[in-house]
Amino acid sequence: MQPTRFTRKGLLQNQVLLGSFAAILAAVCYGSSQFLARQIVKNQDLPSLVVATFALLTGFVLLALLSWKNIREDRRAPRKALLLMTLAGFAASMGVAFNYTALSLAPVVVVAPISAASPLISLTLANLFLHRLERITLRIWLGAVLVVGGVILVVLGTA
Amino acid sequence: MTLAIAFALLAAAGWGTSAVLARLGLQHMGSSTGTVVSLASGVLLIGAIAFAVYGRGVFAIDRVAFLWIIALGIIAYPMGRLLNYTGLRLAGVGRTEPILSGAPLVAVTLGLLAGGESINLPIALGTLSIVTGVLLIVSQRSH
Repeated sequence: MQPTRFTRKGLLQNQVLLGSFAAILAAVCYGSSQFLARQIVKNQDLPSLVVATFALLTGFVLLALLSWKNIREDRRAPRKALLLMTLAGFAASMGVAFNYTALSLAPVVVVAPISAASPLISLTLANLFLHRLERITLRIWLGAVLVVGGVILVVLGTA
Repeated sequence: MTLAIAFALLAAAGWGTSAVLARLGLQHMGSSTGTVVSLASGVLLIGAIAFAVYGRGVFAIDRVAFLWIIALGIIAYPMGRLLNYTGLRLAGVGRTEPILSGAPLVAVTLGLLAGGESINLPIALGTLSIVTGVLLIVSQRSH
C-alpha cells in the first residue's frame, strides 16, 4: 500500500477548501439573520439600530463565554493585532450604520445594489495591501463580479 | 438621493475595509478571539449611536422581541461572524468576501419558502449568476 504523502501544496489546498466551506456556511448564517432581522423590524416595529445593538451584545457575551480558553491563549497576541481587530469591528459597524442611514434616505432598490459592491472594494484593497498574503486572480475577480451582479438582480427582483 | 448614494458607498467601503483589517489581525490570533474583539468594538459603536438617536427608548423592548433578537444574535455572530473570520484566516479575502456577498440569496430563498414571496426572472438569473460566481471562486486552485 502506498503511504499517504502530505505535501505543502496539498495541505494549503485543503486549508483553502475548508476556508471556502466556512465562508459558504457564514453566508447561510448571514442570509438567515437578514431574513430574521427583517421579520423582527417589521413585526415588532423596532428600530434597526436597536435590534443590531442587542444582537451584537448577545453575540459578544455568548462567544466570549464559549471561547474563554482561546481568549486566554491569545492574551499575548501583539497589540497591533488587537488594534486591527478593533478597527475591523468599527469598520463593519460603521458599514451597518451607514447602510441604515442610506436606507432611511432612499429606497432599497437604490441602496442595496451600491452597498452590494463591498466585495469589489475588499478585492481592490486586498490587491493593494495584501499582495504578500494572497493573490487575487482574474478568475476570482470574474467570480466576484458575477456574485455582485447576481445579488443586484436578486435585490431588484425582490423589491 | 445623492446623500443616500454617498452613505451606501460609505457602507460598502466600511465592510470592504473591515475584511482586509480582519485578515491582517487574524494572522496573530485565533478566529474566536478576533471575533470577540471585533464584536466588542462593534457593540460599543452601534450601541452609542443607537443611544444617541433613541435615548432610553433603546431599552423599550418586549420579552418576545428580545427572545427573537437573541436568536438573531446567535445566528449572526457566534455562528456567522466566527465562520466568516475562519474563512478569512484560511482562504483569504479574495475567496471569502465574494462568497459572503451571496448571503441575500439565502434571505430570498427563506422568503420564498416561509414568507410567501414569489420567484421571477431577475431572481432566477441572479441566483444562476451567484452560484456560477461562487463555483468559479471555490474551484480556483491555491498558489
